[in-house]
Amino acid sequence: MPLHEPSPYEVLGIPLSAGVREINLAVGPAMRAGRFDRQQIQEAAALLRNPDRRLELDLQQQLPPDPVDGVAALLGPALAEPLLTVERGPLPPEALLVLRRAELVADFAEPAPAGVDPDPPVPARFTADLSVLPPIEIPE
Amino acid sequence: MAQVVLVLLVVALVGAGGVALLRRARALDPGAVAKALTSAAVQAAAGRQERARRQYARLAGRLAAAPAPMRPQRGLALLGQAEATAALGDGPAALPLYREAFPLLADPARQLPRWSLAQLAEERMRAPEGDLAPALAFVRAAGRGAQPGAEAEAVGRTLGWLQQLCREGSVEQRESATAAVQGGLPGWDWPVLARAALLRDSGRRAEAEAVLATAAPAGGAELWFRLGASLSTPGREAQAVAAFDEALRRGPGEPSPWSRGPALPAECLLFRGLARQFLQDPVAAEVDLRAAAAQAPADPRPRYALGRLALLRDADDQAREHFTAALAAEPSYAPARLGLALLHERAGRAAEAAADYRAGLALAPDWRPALVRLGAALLAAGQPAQAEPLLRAEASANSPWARIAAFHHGLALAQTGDPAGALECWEPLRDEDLLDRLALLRDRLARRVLATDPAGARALWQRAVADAPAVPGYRLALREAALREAAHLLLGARDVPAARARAAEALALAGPPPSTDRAGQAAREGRLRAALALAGGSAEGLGALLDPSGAPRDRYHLAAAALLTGRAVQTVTLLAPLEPDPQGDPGLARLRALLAERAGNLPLALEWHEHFLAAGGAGPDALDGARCSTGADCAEPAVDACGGCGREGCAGHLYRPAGALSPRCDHCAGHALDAVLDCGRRLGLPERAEPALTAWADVLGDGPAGRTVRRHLALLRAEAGELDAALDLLPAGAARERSAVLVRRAAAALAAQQAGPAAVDLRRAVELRPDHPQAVPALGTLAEHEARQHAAEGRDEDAWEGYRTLLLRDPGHPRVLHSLGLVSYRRALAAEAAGSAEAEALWQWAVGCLVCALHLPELWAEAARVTGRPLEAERIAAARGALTDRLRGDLRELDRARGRSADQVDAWTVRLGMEARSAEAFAQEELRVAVPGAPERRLVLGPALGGLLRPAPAGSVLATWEGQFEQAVLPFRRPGPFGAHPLTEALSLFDGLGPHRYLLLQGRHAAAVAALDAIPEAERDEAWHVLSREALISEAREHHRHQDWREALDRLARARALPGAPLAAELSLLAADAGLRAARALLKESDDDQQGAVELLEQALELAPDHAEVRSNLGAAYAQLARKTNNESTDYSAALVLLRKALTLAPEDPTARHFLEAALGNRANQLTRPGPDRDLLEAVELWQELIELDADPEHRLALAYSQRLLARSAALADNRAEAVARMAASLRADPEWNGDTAREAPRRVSVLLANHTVDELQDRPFAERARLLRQAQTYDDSADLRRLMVSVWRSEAADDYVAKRYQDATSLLEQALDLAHHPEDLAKIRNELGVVCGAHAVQNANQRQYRQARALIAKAVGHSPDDRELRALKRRIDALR
Repeated sequence: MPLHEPSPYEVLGIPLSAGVREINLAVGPAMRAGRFDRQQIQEAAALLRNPDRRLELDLQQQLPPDPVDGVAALLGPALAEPLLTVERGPLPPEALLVLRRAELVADFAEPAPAGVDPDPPVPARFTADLSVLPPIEIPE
Repeated sequence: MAQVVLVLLVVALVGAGGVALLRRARALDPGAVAKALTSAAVQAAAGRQERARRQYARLAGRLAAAPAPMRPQRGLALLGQAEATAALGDGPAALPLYREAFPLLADPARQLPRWSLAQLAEERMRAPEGDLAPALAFVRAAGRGAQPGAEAEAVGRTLGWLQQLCREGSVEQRESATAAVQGGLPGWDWPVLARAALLRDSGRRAEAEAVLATAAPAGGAELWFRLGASLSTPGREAQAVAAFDEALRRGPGEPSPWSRGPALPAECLLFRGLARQFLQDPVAAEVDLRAAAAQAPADPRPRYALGRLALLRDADDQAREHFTAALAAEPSYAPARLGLALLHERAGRAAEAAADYRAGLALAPDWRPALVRLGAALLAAGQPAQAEPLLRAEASANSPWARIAAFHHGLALAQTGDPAGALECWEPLRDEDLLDRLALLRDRLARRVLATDPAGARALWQRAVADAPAVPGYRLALREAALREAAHLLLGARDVPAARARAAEALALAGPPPSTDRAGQAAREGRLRAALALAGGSAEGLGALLDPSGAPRDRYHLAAAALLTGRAVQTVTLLAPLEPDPQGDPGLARLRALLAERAGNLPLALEWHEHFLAAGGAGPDALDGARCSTGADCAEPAVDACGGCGREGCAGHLYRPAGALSPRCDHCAGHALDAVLDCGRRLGLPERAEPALTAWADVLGDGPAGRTVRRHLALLRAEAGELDAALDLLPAGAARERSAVLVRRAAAALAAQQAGPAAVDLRRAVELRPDHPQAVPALGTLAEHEARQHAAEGRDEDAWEGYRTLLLRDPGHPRVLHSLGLVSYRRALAAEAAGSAEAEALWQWAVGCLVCALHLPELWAEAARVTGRPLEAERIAAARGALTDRLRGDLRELDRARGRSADQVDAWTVRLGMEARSAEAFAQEELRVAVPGAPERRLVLGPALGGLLRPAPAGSVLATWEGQFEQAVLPFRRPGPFGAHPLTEALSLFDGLGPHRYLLLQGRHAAAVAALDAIPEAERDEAWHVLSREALISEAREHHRHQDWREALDRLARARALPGAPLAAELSLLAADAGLRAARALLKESDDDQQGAVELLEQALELAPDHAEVRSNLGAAYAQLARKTNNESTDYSAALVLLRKALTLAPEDPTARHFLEAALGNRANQLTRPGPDRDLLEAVELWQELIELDADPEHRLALAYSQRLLARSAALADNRAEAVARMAASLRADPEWNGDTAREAPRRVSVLLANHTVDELQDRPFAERARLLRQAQTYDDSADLRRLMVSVWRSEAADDYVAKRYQDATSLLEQALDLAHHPEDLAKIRNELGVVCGAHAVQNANQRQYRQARALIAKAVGHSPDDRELRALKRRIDALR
């Protein structure tokens, strides 16, 4: 069941209800529009001119649904809502704080020397004693 | 007889030998062996060496297998044999005997001659392994009294070998050797020393000491010295001194590798002196050490010991003298060199000390204390770089001197400018004497890191203050560090509460300002505290901390605080002295903007907010390696600071659009842009805000601020009606806003009568906001438009889902059915091309929906309405047919691709046909159903669509539809009185056998039958049986019509085999006709195929059992087949079966009767022969049947023979009655017999048995033959039978005689004697009994059974009294005793 894609109606740019006269009139504009090639346009027109093949074609594509009413009214409340709201409270204190490194570093000062003996005496427990002399071992 | 005598002699000899052996065996007891040894020794002592050797050898041989307790006696026997052999001058022969005797003797060292021991020791030394006993025995025998010369040399070699074994080899080998030697050489010192050395070396010092203590009392000085050395441990010096005393008193033992030799006295004095030194007796110690030095002037150790003693007394000069003397005695004696080094270090001569330590370490490189002291000496000598690696290694070593090394290592690091390393070394050594050094190190370190890490510096000074609280400089430094730390924390993490808390702590730690520069320090601290308060969200109390006349930033913060606390006038006052500058400090611009907003001057406020975003302010700061602190979780290096707030940020978190003089952070940009937008909208000029928003949207990127700006910008455009642009601009996360814009675009599309695009937008809106209160119901209304839009835009999956959802809500909707079928078809093609598994289901949707939709008149009416062209019924039918044919073409290709034929039940063409047939049937009826929420719909359904819609979930719309469907079709479920309605047939296609039924309805009987046959046995139910029967009968009729007789017959046979009522009479006739025609056709083709004809006719007979023509034809066919079987394959049994069947069907058939006589004769003859009773019985019956048909005498003789064979069989089975009866029947059947049957029958049975024994059993055992003959005797005990038995018995006795089974032979002959009546037989038997008994008597005599022999020979003579030889034999046997 070969499907006709694109639809001959789309090729010629005519509605489902178009008659033979409209079909014939649509060929020229379709050619000029250049959206489809010549052969496609001619085949589309030929198909639509054949009532039996056209009926089969009509049944090979979705039929349009019934028009609906009242949907726009359903959406009314949504359309009434504002799209953009800017929420701005008062600025907090921290937002107005400005701290710049250069301004703070300007207050820094080098500490004075501590003033202590740079070389205190070695504690007695780390000085030299007789433990450095090896004992006399009994030979084996 | 000569043989008998010889046998007697041999027996006598064997008996005598046995007695002698028994006597010998009894002589092997210890006493007797001792006696024998004594006897042999007496012989040897008397000089009769050869006799002695023999006696010893004999005795040793006898004792070889003696029990273990007698092994020493065997050793003595071998020893005696060896000595006797040696005495005879055959030394080489004697040595093996000594070797054999050695392990058996109690004390071979004493018992064996020394020369033999020497030989055995040499042999052992040459062997790679073995017992050390021969070498030890030799040393023990000759060691201390060896003859000078060869023997002494042998002893020396043996000792050297033993000592080598104790010193060398593995621990296990030495363990074994020292233990053996110590045990094998008691009284010797060196084995004890060797053993103790081994134990000491293997860590068993206690065992070594025990060995020495045990052996020392009987040992020499060497043992005591070694014992003293073993006792020289802390706490046992007094015992050691006593042991050394004893060593000095005793003489030296034998020299050995383990002895001190001549040096022993000096060694004893040295170590006794050292022990006394440990006992705190320096005077006695010095006496001993000096004596030792005098006795061994070349030994440096006594001098060195004296030097250490002097150092202990602080007599450094004496110590130097002794160390120098020790070095003079031995220049390479390292301890003395180290003593000199220590003397230098104590005296502060660091360079000399280092030199001597180096020299000492060159001699003793592993002495760790010297390494540590060398490092300390190098440090003291001002060489920290050389000392550091040395001390580092020693500090990390696991030794008692590691802590000293660690201190000096820290010292070295401190000297080389590494206070952190020094701290690391000293902290583990922390004690009171180290605190000032630790504080000093931390002070140095803190000063180093203060600029970059004020928190670290603050911590270091905190510790320094704790360790050295008296040092004021540390406290001042701590304050500076704390203030810096607070400043750094505010700069780097003002937004982090924990950082602000730490800053507060740092400010508290800083403490009161120092007396010097108190005002300046207070302003600095106030500035920090004010910043901390603002950062924490408080603008209160800043007036007490800040001075407006101080730094410009202090004035700004005071103005900001005033504005924040509602004192706008004060803000204005504070800002008044400052000239407004749009390019100046952005902070001031923001204050001015806020002031203008508060005053209601929105244009001015908008301008100052724009100035804030673009102003430059101060130039870039020196960031000093700061990290990004814009509030984002980012650790990248900061590259600049925000012009608004001063937050330092990385390149990714600071933003600067073209034209701005400095960057801004998220916080500042976000607040300012909101303000710009708000002011613009409040002014009614939202477009005023757009340039700023657009510029910043580009640079803010995808961060939160960027997304907010883009959202605002997009919504601004949406408000302006640019919905597509707004949707493009909205960021991904703005779901709510996107949903709102989509709803607006849907509304616009609806207004333009474009319901499809509107539905698509609403769907997207609902996806973003599933609870959208307006979009959800609107979308429900537009569902079909949405699906169609999806289809139009190629979103087939979405379209399919949409249509399917609609169909499940309203299953009879013609347009939805049609659209879903088309979309399913398109998806099925795509799935087929992609090889997807979905294709199968999609094809089912396509077939079901399309076919049913095309049969709905409402669809065609809809098409006419849409196109505006009326449609005639013919054109509709033609279009429907054309479309169905095209679909069938597609499905045919599909089946071909999948290897399915059009006759298979799962073929798509079959499914399409079913769907079309069903839809057509439904379309002819006006059936309607209605579901909630949908209008009443015409019902058109096929199996494919029905399978997709059912079973429906309970409670669903579909379930309601299903219920109505069942109600609507209920009248059509069963066939009506006038045959099946098309809709009834259609409904029958909906179950599992639907395709099979469809094939049948289509007239494709063979395909239907094949498909039904393909259903597994386990799945066949009653419906299957009914349908199969119907299919088979239909097929049979078709075959009959086509004159396929055989096939027609077969199908009818299969149909009859199925459960159900019998075949109708009409079908029976059909089967009979088919069977007869098939058989005729077969025989016409091949008149020899009787078997085939029979089978066909049998089949026909089963289907038409009373059909006369079938019966007569089958009878004739049986007869012809029997003839063929009888003549060609000679299977007479089969022929008989066939002939009996033939006569059953046609009893008067003469041909069959004639064939039966022939077959009976053939079969009976075949069976009449010796064989199984079963065959013979059958033969009897056959002969009897034949005799009834034809009483030929030959047939009677054959019957008699058969009965005779049965009689023999019964007699052999010991069934006497049966045997006699069968023999009587045989006689009766015999046409020539006319005697007394009752009398003759047993006799003939007896003869049969006797003949059978003689003819058939001649090679069987005697017992079997005898049993049968005795059985024959029970039927008729005739003289002939007895002579036959005597002959058999004698023959068997002869065999026994030859085999020398005289007793058996005698028994048989005696039985024969009882059976025999004929004199000749009697004489022969007695003579034979004489011979047999005589031979038996000789046999007994030879076996020395004289009594039996005499009885037997007497019996023999009794049977043959005239036999001279027997009598002579009797005399000889009687003479035997």
